[in-house]
Amino acid sequence: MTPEKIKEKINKIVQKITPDISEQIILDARKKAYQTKKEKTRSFSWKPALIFAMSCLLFVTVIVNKPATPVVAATISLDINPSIEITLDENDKIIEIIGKNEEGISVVEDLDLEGYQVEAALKVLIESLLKHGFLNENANSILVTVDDEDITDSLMKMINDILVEDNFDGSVVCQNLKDNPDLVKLAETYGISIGRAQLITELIALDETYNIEELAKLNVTQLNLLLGNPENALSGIKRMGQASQKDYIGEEKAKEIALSSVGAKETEISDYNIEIDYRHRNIVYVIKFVYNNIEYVVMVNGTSGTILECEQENKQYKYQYGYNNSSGLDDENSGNNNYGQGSSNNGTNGGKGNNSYGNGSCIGQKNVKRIALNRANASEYNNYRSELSLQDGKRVYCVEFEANNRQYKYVIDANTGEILEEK
Amino acid sequence: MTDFCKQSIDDVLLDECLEEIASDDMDGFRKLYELTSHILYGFSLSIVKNEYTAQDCLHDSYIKIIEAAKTYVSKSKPLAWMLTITRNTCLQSLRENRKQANLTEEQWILQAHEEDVSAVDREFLNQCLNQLDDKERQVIMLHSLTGYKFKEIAQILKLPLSTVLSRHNRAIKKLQQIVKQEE
Repeated sequence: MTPEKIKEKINKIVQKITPDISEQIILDARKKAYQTKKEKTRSFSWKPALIFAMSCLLFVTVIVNKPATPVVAATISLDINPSIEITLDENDKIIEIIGKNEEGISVVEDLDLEGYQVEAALKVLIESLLKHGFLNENANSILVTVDDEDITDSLMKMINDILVEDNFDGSVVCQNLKDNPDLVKLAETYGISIGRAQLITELIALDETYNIEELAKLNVTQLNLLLGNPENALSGIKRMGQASQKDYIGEEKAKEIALSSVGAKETEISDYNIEIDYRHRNIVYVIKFVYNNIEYVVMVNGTSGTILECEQENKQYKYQYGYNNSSGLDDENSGNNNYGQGSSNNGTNGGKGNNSYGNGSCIGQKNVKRIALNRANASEYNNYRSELSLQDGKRVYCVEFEANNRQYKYVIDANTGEILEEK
Repeated sequence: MTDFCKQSIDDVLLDECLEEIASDDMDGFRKLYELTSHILYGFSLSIVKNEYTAQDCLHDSYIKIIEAAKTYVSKSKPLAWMLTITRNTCLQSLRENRKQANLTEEQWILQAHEEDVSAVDREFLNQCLNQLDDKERQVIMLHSLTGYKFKEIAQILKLPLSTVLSRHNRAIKKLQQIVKQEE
């Protein structure tokens, strides 16, 4: 073998055995840079600050008689799947970062971020989440729960900027922690963070057909997908970016499935609308459109593309049919349920099969239900039924249900939500 | 000389990567790592003679390179500059951990990456490197990985050109002997 051949062979073998530790190096370089910066700051201010600090300490110890521990000014909870809690002092410096679950502990155990400015710490933390793969193109959402509403906006922007800087197409959901001791109990019961418990509680308050056991199993990106549904708009929630749909078939594919199920072409439909929801233990796409003067509402399984429900309605008649879901993925989740059949709902089965959907100008089934139940002052109800129909040329919802040991009937204006009749 | 040796690393491209790193753009670092990591790793390996220590040296060298990128002034020799940092890091590591310098040949074996490298190739590299002394190994590794001229290698290793040439010739003879025995 010639010397060149030998060297070429050495070159090739070394290329193969060279480890890829580039991301680790980037992370460590950043940590070191922040650490150096911190030490410089400390060393710069140490001497002139000493006398002042001693005086303060004396004052605190003698006059106030309190231990000189950092004052927690704010607590931030981050939820991805790892749950991480960050406490800040009055200068927005980190007092402590704690992993609140197994994954959270694995992320923070090697990070020594105490004393860092929150922005620097979040940058290191988010890069660690990206490096560990907890944040990825499928799970791209971070739920941020803050107990100090003054910093909510700046914090959300800060996290979003870090994601953009890291070229990551992420989404940030921000909420303020409410003073509700029940959330702690709920979080413990379902093994989730308090932030997620609060978000789920609020979603259920908006739509009673959601089920806490089921929502507690959803990850933050899935919950974020639900928040993207206009019917689930929560007043206290702020969002930046879009939740990833890469685990699902996507809106275009869902639309294609829905249209082909009724033999419609894209150019032949009007009043098109698509929303993401959680039904039948699945993320689903709910597609609404008008074709041949008939309003269609098609519910498509977001994972498998199976049609779970298909409803159609026109002025002359209403026809509703369902699919006995017996294929693939849905079998496991849904058993032998025959979706969409019948029109009664006891309020606990999570189904939406009885609903008639209006067009874009209607207030929607959820709002109708809330209006009717509020009027009846009913928290528990049975045999709920509502239908969209025409009355004197006006679109109205006819709502019936049993509650408080009696039968309620309401006619509600589908456009304004005004109660027109009640019995 | 085969094509691989003629193709020296593009110094202009490396300079651009270093500029990006200096402006805190870590994509520049990723490019730099892709272009140079095998060179720095192989060179580390030839000095510290242990793949785990070599990996540590590779890590520490790149950290120093990132830190120094802000003050780096291009003299059209970015790879030589990086190799000097790597060499100093490795020598420091050897000083701090003198046990490494006394490794026996049996210990000087590549153990990891079994899934990437065939047993034959691994044995070849082990054999080649075990038969060479420290300086021979460094000369052969730098010449194999960088395609540098001997004069440039002499500058990096801080040795006279004549010494580098004689060590290279001696090393090549040893390696050819090994290959001959294997065949």
